[in-house]
Amino acid sequence: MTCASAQKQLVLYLARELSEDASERVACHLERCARCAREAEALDETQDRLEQVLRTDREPSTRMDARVMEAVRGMAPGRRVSTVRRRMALFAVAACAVFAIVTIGRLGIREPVRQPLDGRVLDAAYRFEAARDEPVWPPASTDGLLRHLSLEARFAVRVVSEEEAGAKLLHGHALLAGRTQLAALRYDWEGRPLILFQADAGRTSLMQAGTAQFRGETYRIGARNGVGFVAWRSGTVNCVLMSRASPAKLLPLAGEFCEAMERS
Amino acid sequence: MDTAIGLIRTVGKRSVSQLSDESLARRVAAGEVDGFAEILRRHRSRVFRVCYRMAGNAEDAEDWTQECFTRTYQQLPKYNASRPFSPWLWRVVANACINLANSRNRRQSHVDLGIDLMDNLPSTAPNPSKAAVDRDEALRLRSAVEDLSPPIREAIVLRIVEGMSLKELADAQGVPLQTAAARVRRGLMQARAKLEASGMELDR
Repeated sequence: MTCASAQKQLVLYLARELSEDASERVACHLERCARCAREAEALDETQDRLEQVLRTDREPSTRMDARVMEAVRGMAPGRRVSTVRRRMALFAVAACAVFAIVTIGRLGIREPVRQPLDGRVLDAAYRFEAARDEPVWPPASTDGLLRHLSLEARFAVRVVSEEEAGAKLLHGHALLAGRTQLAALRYDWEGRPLILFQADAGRTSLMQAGTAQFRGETYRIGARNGVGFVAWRSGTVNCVLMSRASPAKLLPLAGEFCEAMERS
Repeated sequence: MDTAIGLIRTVGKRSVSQLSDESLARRVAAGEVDGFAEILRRHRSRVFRVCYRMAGNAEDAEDWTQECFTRTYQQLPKYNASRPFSPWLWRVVANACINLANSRNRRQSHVDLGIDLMDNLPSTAPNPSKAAVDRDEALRLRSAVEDLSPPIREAIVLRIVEGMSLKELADAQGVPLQTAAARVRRGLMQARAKLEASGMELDR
């Protein structure tokens, strides 16, 4: 046996995953060849040391499980239909499927996977948006901003103004946070930045968080690093309102935004 | 009535937990989404630990684990339930981890160990100076592994963290046995070379 072929088999030999014959041949070679024997010892030693420093007993958080199941449910097929109805619909479904596959294949479009609106991503997006130092957008026409944002973000963004509630619309941006396309509307609220993020509800799901009721509607609320957020779904968009304030203080404002969006 | 419903629920729960991975996967592929929670419960820790060592920190590792499981769910209709589930799952996970690592490598040149740098390092030794050496060596070894290319790093992580045999590793990575063995050898040798280049003697 040559050194080259012995060295190729050393890892399998040390793992005792060679046949008896092959193992014996490598063992014989190692007895005669000091260089290969040193390499075998070095590989064994390095693996031992790596085992000590790489093995870990860390566990994922239970929040992760909820996120996985939320994402999976977002991808779940629709309501199951009875066998009879399924058979009746089979032909139509098959025809549609063939059409969809051909069309999707031609256009190169992949089926969208709903991304959960991640707290950390939104936190980073908030810091980025709150630190923007740009000329104030003249809110002469909310329609202009709506068209611009919808085009940039590639979903139907809603633009609402809440000056009566003390939130003055300044400007809006489309941004990509991680893999999630967001639209951000920035308001001045009692001298501090208030950001309303929107994302396509067909492509995103709301993050896991505590819940609170306001005027009969349920909102998800929480805070990270001193930034409070209130999240809800309005029609085809998922919304997250964020500012340096407690979620309790943000909740009534979020209620106003939600109702204004329902009216728009 | 309530007792009866409770009993049915208990039996239902017990039966799900008693199902094999293969039966569960078949049910989930047929539309029983809730069964996926049991698949997740059984495999979450092992998948997370591999993602943790591939990603370098716990926060990214949770994102990677989520990605692995959502891909698993999406690909379940392709799973052949007459074959064992676990190797198929690891193949999906290994593929997802390589893709995630490659996509991160395009954005940054080095895996950042970040806040988890100091976790789980040897800290107790009779001689304090030896403890410092151990700690230093551990950091250098981890750093050496993080510098490996994604397929080689993954081979080392699956073999060492997950304790896979080389045959299982080859199945997970979808490569011949000799290729899997060569990846492990190259990973071990590169890690050792980096330590030696930094003046750290491994044999003591």
